[in-house]
Amino acid sequence: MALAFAHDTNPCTAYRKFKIGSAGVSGESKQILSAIRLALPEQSDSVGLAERCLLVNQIDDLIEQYSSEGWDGYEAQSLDSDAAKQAQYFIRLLPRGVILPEALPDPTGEIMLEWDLPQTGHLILTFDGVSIAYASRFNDGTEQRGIDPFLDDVPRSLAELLNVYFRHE
Amino acid sequence: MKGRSAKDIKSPPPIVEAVLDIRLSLADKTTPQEVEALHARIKDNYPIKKIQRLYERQIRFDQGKPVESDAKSGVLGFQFWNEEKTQIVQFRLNGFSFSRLFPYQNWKQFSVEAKRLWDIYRSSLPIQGIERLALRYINRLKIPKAKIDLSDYFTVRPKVPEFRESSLSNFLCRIQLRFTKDDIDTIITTTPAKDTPEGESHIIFDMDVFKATNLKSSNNIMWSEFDKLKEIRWQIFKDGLGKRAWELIT
Repeated sequence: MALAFAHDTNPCTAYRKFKIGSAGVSGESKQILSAIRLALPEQSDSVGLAERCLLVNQIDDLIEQYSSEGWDGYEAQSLDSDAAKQAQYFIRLLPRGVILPEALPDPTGEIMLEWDLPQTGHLILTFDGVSIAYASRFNDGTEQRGIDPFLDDVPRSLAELLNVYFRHE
Repeated sequence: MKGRSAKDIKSPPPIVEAVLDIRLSLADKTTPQEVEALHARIKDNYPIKKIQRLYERQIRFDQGKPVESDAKSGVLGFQFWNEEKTQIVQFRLNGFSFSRLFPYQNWKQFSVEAKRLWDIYRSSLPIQGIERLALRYINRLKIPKAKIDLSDYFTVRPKVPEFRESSLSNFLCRIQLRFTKDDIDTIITTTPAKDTPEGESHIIFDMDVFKATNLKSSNNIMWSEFDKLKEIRWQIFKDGLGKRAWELIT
């Protein structure tokens, strides 16, 4: 069989390789979903991949560190492991060349990814295990916020934001 | 493979889940309550309801720093299950799915029920466009042997050199094909199943056949596209199984 690779030069979609697939509810479909999410390193850049791995591991550390209720001294909820897995998967899907964020715990139990560049602006994503909420403010006066279901790809609106405002030069 | 017919397959077939999936966009003002209200029309057969949630938060900025956040929850859609937990319909704000779990009977029973439920969904909600159609069949082949040669059972499999004193303990094999004539894509995945009893080998053989569309409404074109997906799915199943696997299921 001939192999025909379609070269996609659109930075918002070029990273998209194997789609997760259609909705399934069986145990077998969930097993495949979990395996694919762990096995999808989109980058051939080994340095970028190493940095991503570090960030993914940092989220594991956050889960361990903030596993008790009231970790902020008040009423903070323990970090949600589904939200953590979702954030880790998102990090693996980030387009090549995008600056990596900082991972932070949120008192609601969600994981936050934050980009904060003085020369560009500010973007926060929060993961609750099902969807991504985002809020941004940039130095050019642009503000965006929204919420998108997160199934198998970085939502297009977010991919565009990241590629415009948070790329390595 | 020549000579292979669906009629030869023993009942029930090794399908653990068949999914008919339609991704679409509804009018922006459509509310989860309107979707939930459809349950009244199917609850005799699908009494069990599960909510698929969305979560929204508002982050306010003061001098570039987030200072406060309000949170409210929303709903993406609903799953409705039958009592036996063999059939599940998902009515969502971004689509419709119907799943049949083991034991799968046949295409006719599966598609008739999917169409019946789809007609309830599409006649009640304001569909703006249909974007993707998919049929996904997940098979679980139960091979009554602990050690097998994958090449006897699957044509989609990893090819591994025979290293001394080694055996293949796990794999995930996933390929994506494009059938150019009809612009249909398919993702084929094989991997060992969890919870395999000792002394046996259970392998998942997953075929997800899909097509991007730009239909404004559901009509005969949509169902004829599903017929094409079904034919591709059968071709992949028939040619994806090795000789021993075919003997196992017939």
